[in-house]
Amino acid sequence: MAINLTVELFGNSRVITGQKLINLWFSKSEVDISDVIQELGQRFPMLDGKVLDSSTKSLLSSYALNLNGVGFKDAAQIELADGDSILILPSQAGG
Amino acid sequence: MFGYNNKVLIIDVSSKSWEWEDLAEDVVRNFIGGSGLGAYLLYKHCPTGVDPLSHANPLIFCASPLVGSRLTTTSKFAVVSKSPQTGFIGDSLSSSSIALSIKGVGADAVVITGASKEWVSLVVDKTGVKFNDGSNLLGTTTSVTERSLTDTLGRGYDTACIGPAGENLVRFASISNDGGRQAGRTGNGAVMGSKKIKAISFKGHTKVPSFDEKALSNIRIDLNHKSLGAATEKYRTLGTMANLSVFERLKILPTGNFRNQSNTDFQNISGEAIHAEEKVSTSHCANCTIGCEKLVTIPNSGSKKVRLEYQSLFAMGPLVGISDRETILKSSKFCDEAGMDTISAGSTCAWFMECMQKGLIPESWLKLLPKYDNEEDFFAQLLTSIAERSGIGDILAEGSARVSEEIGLGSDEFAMHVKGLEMPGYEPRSLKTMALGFAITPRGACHNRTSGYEADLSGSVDRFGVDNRRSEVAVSGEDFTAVLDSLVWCKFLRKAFDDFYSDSAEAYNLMTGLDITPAELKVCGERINNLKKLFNIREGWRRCDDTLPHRILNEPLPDGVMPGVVLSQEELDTMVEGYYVCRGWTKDGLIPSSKMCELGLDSLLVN
Repeated sequence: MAINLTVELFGNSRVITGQKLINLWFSKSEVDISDVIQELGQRFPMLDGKVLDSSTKSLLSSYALNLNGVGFKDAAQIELADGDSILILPSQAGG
Repeated sequence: MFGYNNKVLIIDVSSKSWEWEDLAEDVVRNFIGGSGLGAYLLYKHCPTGVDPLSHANPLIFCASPLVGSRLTTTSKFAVVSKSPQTGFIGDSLSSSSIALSIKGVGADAVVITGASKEWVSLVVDKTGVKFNDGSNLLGTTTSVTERSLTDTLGRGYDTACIGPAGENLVRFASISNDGGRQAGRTGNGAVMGSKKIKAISFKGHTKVPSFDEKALSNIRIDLNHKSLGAATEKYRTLGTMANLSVFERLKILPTGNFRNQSNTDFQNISGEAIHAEEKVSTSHCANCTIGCEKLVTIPNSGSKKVRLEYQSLFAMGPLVGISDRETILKSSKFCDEAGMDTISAGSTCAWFMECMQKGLIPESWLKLLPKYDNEEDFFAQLLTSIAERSGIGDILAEGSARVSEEIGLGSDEFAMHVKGLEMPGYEPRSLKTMALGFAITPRGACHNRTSGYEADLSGSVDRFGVDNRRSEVAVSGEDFTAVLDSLVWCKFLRKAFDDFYSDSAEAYNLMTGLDITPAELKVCGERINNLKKLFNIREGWRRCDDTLPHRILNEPLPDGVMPGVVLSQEELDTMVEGYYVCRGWTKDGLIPSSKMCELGLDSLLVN
């Protein structure tokens, strides 16, 4: 079974890539956040070191993850399902 | 003591006289500086029950021990008075060179009492205080006033001033300094106007020595490095306007006077879109490495720039249902130049526009309305009329709380304020910790004093739910912020510390030569918040003041990621009562004498 996901970019990640939405397709049934980060890093190498760390397949601490606009979760807690939206947004909440 | 001048300058504009008062060590050890020292001086100098716009209400400018340390972000000061919006403590922060000049004249704080019969422009320098004629500056915008005084007085003078809104006693008038930075909230500009002070300029001539400059220098280098890291990335790149697109997606961007039923797409005014499509430059406060300020060139206005941040973007746009970028930028600029708080101005207009839609405007007021071409034009004209107190603006200048009481007809149910201070751009129904923060903060609906959004937007709590942890989060956030606002560090540096209280105590001790522990510093935060509450109790605070607008407690969110989510009165009561328990207060929110003794407030406030 394949999985379709949407990644929504906010803040400087959107400025760097010029993209708001990125559709990802995985030809496997289990996908985790590290798969998503790896794919993003490959498609947009300019994000490496500014938004994500491709060597650890994780976001930099200046960014946070949100699933479907609802809950904020650590990468390890997120269970992805077909059709999910992953929001990558600045981790600093103030202003 | 090092780090302090150990003096307060008391200016009486009624008699055009001034004197210096000693600042005792036990006062600064307990209240530090900035908003903490300001709260202490307000309690001391403000007679009980005064009308905030009367001569007896003191207007207090407070520097802090870290001003002059050259530690990043510390060139800040607090402005404190009894708020003409709330009738409770009104404190607001601003920043940059003038903080250095206030301290440079030899004062840790300046307390202005009385009221002049004629308009004056105060000048404070090594020769003392001058009460210059201010009438020639009347009607001028904040930037013109500041430039004019720089031209007249010469280099080295830094000015805080009011615009037309402050002159006209608009209750949410701000005080402007350093080229458009604002002590924006709680109406201190109206207090300044009530004293007929158009401007106050400072020129420093002394520098307060630090206790251990070499060690302080090492901290400076370390903090400079940390301030350019991940903890401040958003502020350095897009500034706070980056919030807009995130908040819209999470459905926490209040629109249409918190009805949140707008189908308008606000992506056109997102921080990302503005950066991509407009000319944006970065500006720094004095001694700041972060540079959160984004100056946006306004289209079709020559080269005029507006200092744009999220709250102004929200209040001039989504809050009033406007998505036209040019209108928002111009409106924000107008408020800065007129010297008006954008949040309260936008919120009062949003409330009024809803009243019009619902046919609640009294017949006699309709003839006071400006002629307009479209919604954007109407909003712009409302802002102008408020600043001038002309036509309908003379009524709206009182703010949504007072005017809705006057209209009645249920319009108070959608006047979006707490204690008289209008709400900033965070949706409390789906940010429950922030909701508690809005309800209990002494200065009214304020996002900064508890930073409750932080817990809601980090996943450390369920932002839609209510549980006992909110109270602890609110207390701890409020105490943390009181210390931050008293030292004063910029809020945008808060995540850059390894351990906030340890790092702050170390910097404070190296600056002052005192030996305060991190635990003592934390207690200072608690003491300052208790003092603010004590002031409010003295001025008539009641349990029912710690609440939220009727709309928030009775209308479910209509759409979004969690449609139908509500915040009930019962849920709010649970959180507020939990907060009182965490504070060690009575179930009615009063401070027991045992808590007063524990914090030393009983003896500190005797003199």
